[in-house]
Amino acid sequence: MTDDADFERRLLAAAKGDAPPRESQEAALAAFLASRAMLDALATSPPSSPPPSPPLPAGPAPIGGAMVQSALKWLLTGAFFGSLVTLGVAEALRPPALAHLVSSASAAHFGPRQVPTALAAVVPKVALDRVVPSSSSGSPPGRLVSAREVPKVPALAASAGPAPSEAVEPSVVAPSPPVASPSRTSRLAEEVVALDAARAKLASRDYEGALRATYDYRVLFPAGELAREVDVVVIEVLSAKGSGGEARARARAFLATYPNDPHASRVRSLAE
Amino acid sequence: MFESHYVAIWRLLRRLGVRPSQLDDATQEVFAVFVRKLAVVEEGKEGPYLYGVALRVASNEVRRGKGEPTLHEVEALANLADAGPSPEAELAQRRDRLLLDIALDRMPHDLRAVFVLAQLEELEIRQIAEIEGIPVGTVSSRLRRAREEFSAIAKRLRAELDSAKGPAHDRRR
Repeated sequence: MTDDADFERRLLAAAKGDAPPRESQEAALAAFLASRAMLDALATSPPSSPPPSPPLPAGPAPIGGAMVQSALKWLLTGAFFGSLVTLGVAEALRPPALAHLVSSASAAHFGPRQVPTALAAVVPKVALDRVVPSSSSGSPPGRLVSAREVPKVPALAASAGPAPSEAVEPSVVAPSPPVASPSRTSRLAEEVVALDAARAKLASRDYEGALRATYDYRVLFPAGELAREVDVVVIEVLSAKGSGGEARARARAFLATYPNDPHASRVRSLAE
Repeated sequence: MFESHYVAIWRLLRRLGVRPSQLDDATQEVFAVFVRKLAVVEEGKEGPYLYGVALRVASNEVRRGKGEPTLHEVEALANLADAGPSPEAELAQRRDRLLLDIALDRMPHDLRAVFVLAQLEELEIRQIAEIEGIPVGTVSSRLRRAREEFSAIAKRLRAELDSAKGPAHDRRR
């Protein structure tokens, strides 16, 4: 029998990793991309040519191109408040077809970060050697639980979404590649938990604990799909705990390897 | 990415009391407002703006559909255990999440908003003050009261659960 404080903590912990079902995310993303394409058209086309008709209720008010670009860039890079960036993980859980949709639509801003076919292949193995912290007092693995409800991943027929076909590149309408296996999605959910643990420790200024958590992550997921996010946490921890020199060195190495990563600007600020 | 914000806003709305059946619509409403207002949102203030919109949308929704689920949802979930192949840990998590929302439902809305933003979304007091458009001191005092309130509610909820356990089991037999 647990006591009241435990019960309270358990309830609060349950909020972590709560996420909408895949289908609703996909529908929303399709609607968003459509409106985004509309805004892009507004931002780039000369005033004389009429904008394509938007599928969203969003009235196409006259908007400055630079403003639109910066706002969209913000929305797409996930430059949100600290802990929310963790949720960028949803990106990794995306079915490949959807990944393609996003990568082709956002390539103009960020370069080809999302390679659609094999997300796992994108994950750098070099990161492991570089970032494993020197204090290797890793706690034993095996305590991870699946905190995220991982719904079945439906094969997304990109052309069936509400996005108008003229708004996106033709490649988007390619047939859906194989769907992620349940074992992969549940492993990703575990990765999320491990990454969240490191972030939580960083947030509570438990820097040694955060480094241990990143170490745990690397032991548990040597080819993890969130390795870059973990890299960023390590750099942030080092910077926060006053190991500025090491933080800067790692930040520079990170930027050299992933100049177009969505975390790049954050890392760049730590590299200075 | 868009999805990270979508998930964040969806989750925030849920914790602020928007019913599951209304969540998708409410989340899309937040983004629709955001897209419409791009021109007036100050650069670098997009996050607070989205949160602000979410708070307004949530309080409208909550006002519209008050007084839905209570402990019977938890019991329904317990019965689910017999039905599905869902792993036990996942079921326990869903149950806890439901209990969390029930506890939050019992908080006054102003305390709830501050509590969710600080405790669950881990925003700083300063950021919350900005989003809600209220002084930092007000946020601090609300947060203090909200924490006390949540503790008390969780304690009562746990007691209710314990006393409900017996009958719920009998019913299933």
